[in-house]
Amino acid sequence: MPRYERWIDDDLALAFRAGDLAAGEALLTRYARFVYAVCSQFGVDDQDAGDIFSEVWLKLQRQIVSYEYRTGFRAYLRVVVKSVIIDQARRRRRHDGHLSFDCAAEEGEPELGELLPAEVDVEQALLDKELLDLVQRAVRLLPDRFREPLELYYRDGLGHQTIAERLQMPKNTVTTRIHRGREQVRRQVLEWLHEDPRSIGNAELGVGVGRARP
Amino acid sequence: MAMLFEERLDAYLAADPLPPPPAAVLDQATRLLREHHRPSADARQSWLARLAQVREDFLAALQQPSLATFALASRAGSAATVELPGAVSGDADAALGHAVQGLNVRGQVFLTALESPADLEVELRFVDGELLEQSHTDPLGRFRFLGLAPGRYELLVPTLGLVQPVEIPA
Repeated sequence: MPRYERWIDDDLALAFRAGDLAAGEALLTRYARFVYAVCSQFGVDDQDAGDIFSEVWLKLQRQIVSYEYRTGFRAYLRVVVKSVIIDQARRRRRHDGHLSFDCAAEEGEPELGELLPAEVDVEQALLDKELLDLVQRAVRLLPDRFREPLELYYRDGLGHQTIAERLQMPKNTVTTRIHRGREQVRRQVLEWLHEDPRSIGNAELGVGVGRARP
Repeated sequence: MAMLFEERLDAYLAADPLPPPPAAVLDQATRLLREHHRPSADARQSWLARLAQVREDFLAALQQPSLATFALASRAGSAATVELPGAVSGDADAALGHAVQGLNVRGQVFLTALESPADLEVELRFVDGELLEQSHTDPLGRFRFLGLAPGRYELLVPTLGLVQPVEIPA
């Protein structure tokens, strides 16, 4: 039985494309939190978020045939998520009577900023949730001895001395483990980012694409 | 993206965990994924070619002369310990090597290119099974145990089912 959890995205995507359903399910599991977080942000309610989530994976399913090795799966997924969110927003507006099919056909595709509320920046939200997801995945991979002090420090806001007392270890050990844990997370996420070549330069590309309506 | 990550790392570490989707939502997506799956013959061919390359690279890595001091146990043939250079079991996809240097043991876990050998738990046990020390592999799969007493031990990588005897001479 392959250990899919240790496979890189590209191999999972390639195996999935070749007919390995379990590899596809491993991708779904790996990116479920990220995709659902974005869907929740753009869905009008939980039901809508769930529908967008399913639509993302259905669309990915249809399009995976065009996936090529080393395309960069996360960048690929990001494009799919973004297009589903825009489609959903478009449908919603049509349903609400703000935009007719005829209007879309005659005047070309509406700009993203026309479809989504002014304060929403899809591209920025995707990048932000993706990075948050990668950091939290890297934290979950840490051995307990690093993860525990790191979470107590960053998430619970406890001081080194309090953590030392709670975990019954010297304060210097706590300091070292927080530092090392953070460094391991940093290195792991950078490694993932470099596995996905199209992710590297996307910060400049991404920020500010979903602009405000005039 | 990497720059954005570096800038915001501390904020991400302090953020609340992203919740997983509700089970019903995940189930529905999984069901759709299964129902609509239409793999192509071309895709299968390129995946088989990738697998063959991965396997070839894995076996080649185990045969490097610099690893000749390592004894390797393949997961597929867990009873066998292979002294390199030598043959490796045909369907092995994981291996554990070690070398004894004085009272220290250094070693490496080898996996095919499909998997990362990083952060695997490695155990050193007495031959009666009692745990002596635990360690984790670095990004290249390397690990070490220092300052051991002479005697017989076992090296284990529990998640891969790899076991290998180790002897520290007096």
